[in-house]
Amino acid sequence: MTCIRHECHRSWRSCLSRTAPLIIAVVTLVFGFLLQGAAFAEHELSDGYYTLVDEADNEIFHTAIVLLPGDVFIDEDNSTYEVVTIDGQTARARLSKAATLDNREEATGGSTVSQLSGIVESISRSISQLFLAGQQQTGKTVVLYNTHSDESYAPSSGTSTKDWGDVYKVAAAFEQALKKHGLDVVRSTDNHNPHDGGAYTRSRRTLARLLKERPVAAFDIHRDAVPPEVYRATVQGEDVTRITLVIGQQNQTRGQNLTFAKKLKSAADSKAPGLIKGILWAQGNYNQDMLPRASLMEVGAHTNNLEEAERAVGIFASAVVPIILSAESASGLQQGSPGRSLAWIVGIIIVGSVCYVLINSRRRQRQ
Amino acid sequence: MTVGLILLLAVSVVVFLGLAHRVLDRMHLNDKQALVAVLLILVGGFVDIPIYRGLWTISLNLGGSVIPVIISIYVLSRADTPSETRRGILSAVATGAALVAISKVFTFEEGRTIIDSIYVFGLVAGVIAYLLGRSRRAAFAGAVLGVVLLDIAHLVEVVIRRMPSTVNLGGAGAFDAVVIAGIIAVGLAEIFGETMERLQGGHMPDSKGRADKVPEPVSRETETLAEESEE
Repeated sequence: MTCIRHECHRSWRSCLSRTAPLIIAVVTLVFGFLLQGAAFAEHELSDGYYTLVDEADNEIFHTAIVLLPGDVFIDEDNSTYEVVTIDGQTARARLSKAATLDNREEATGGSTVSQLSGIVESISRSISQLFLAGQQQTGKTVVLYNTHSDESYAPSSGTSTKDWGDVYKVAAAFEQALKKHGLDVVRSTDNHNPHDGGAYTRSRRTLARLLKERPVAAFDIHRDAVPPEVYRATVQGEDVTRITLVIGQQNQTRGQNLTFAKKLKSAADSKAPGLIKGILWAQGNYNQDMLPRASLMEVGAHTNNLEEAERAVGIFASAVVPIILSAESASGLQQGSPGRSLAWIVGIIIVGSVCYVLINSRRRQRQ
Repeated sequence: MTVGLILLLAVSVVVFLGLAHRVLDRMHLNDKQALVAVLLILVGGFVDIPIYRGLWTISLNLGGSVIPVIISIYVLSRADTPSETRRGILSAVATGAALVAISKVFTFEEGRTIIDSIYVFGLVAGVIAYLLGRSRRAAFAGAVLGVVLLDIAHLVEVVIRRMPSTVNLGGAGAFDAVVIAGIIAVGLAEIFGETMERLQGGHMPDSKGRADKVPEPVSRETETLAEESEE
């Protein structure tokens, strides 16, 4: 690089000539995608799906969610499988252990650290509460939204995607069921189309707005894309689609979110056996860093009926309301993951300070 | 606590401790202004300004877009040279275009991602803006405006395709990628810019062999050293 120094002076023309190819290429690419409808991003695994198999080649799980090494799947019997290798669309997993569904919140450090981090959390919480004055935290508000607004059920709608997907109707059915059991529900109908890589960034804004309602839990309603028999089941005498809970690994609240999902599954297993297909602990975040009681729900697949999906969330709601209303769940919202957050803040400050001192000392030596 | 909030709080502490003097000097900001900016981003994140409601619901978030854009424009307006301003604008366009391209190529579906989109957008914007902008001012403005351009591109796309959508520019406020992008861009400029300058022993001549003639803005730290030596 001829000119590395940031105050270097290159004429407009030379600067442009150096970056023009990059800019032209990127801009062309962008407009190509914009005008042609982003075929890549909206491609769904319609030509296949992933199959999770154990060491003995027994099929454990089918999903259109692309599996990666390190992903963990807790099946309906609470056996925990960790993906080890990917062979085409077959994910080979090893049986890790039986999941404990009633375990408590993940420990966040020693007592001193917890106290210090509690102070930091209190400060940040106070900042938030400052702007939420006048709003009562009822402790029973649940928020619902749909990141992938286009997802639909082909047998019911004739298409698997449309501008206002059937997942909105599933969310509405979930809302009615939760309200019937005494919960306050705020459901967003924000549309996050198109179904591309920016959808989660856009739904993050929706969730940020919903957080003003001080929810105890948030659910992002989706549907999977696999053959109908994978999710079809009869639960409590009704034909329904099963539900997979997806929790992201890439956030500070992953432990709490996973615990929350396990509690939901435990409650559903006892009241509606077979309804929950499993919990997938996958790569990603899915905006679940925003609160420690967040879950993504895959309610059936595009090959299932909308009515089956609506019945499923109705049964699910009746089973999990006690978990959502429990004091532990409500207070958990306030706990967050203070130890990890504090560690990050302190770490960033230390690294920043060391860099500052190093750079500064060299400058002084030069002077 | 989200990454954006963690970064904002860490920056606030660093500014409060007086460790960001030189960076802020170069950006023509002082400690108080920087802390007020952080506070405005935090407060403004809760304020949405509705613009249009119809097939598309369009709104503007105060903390996630208006405040960062105002700071970026101010910082660019105080650039030392016209070429630096141009670099800032170019880096913003390139950053925005790169983010749009990424959002179209990678779906960040459930499980279909190595790193989550919120981190990817922040990192990519920060790095591209630094590489093209190079100075702290141009890098910061490029990163912030680039993320905002991603939102604008989304608006253009849904209008062209007549697709219903909610367009909330910068709507996640302090939780948005714009915070991560801006901080990473300035951090890279500060750490790598200074390190490279140190490794090369000072200002580099340009392609025609001329020495860099533009004076560095005098930082408070330099002033303090001068005062100490005079004493």
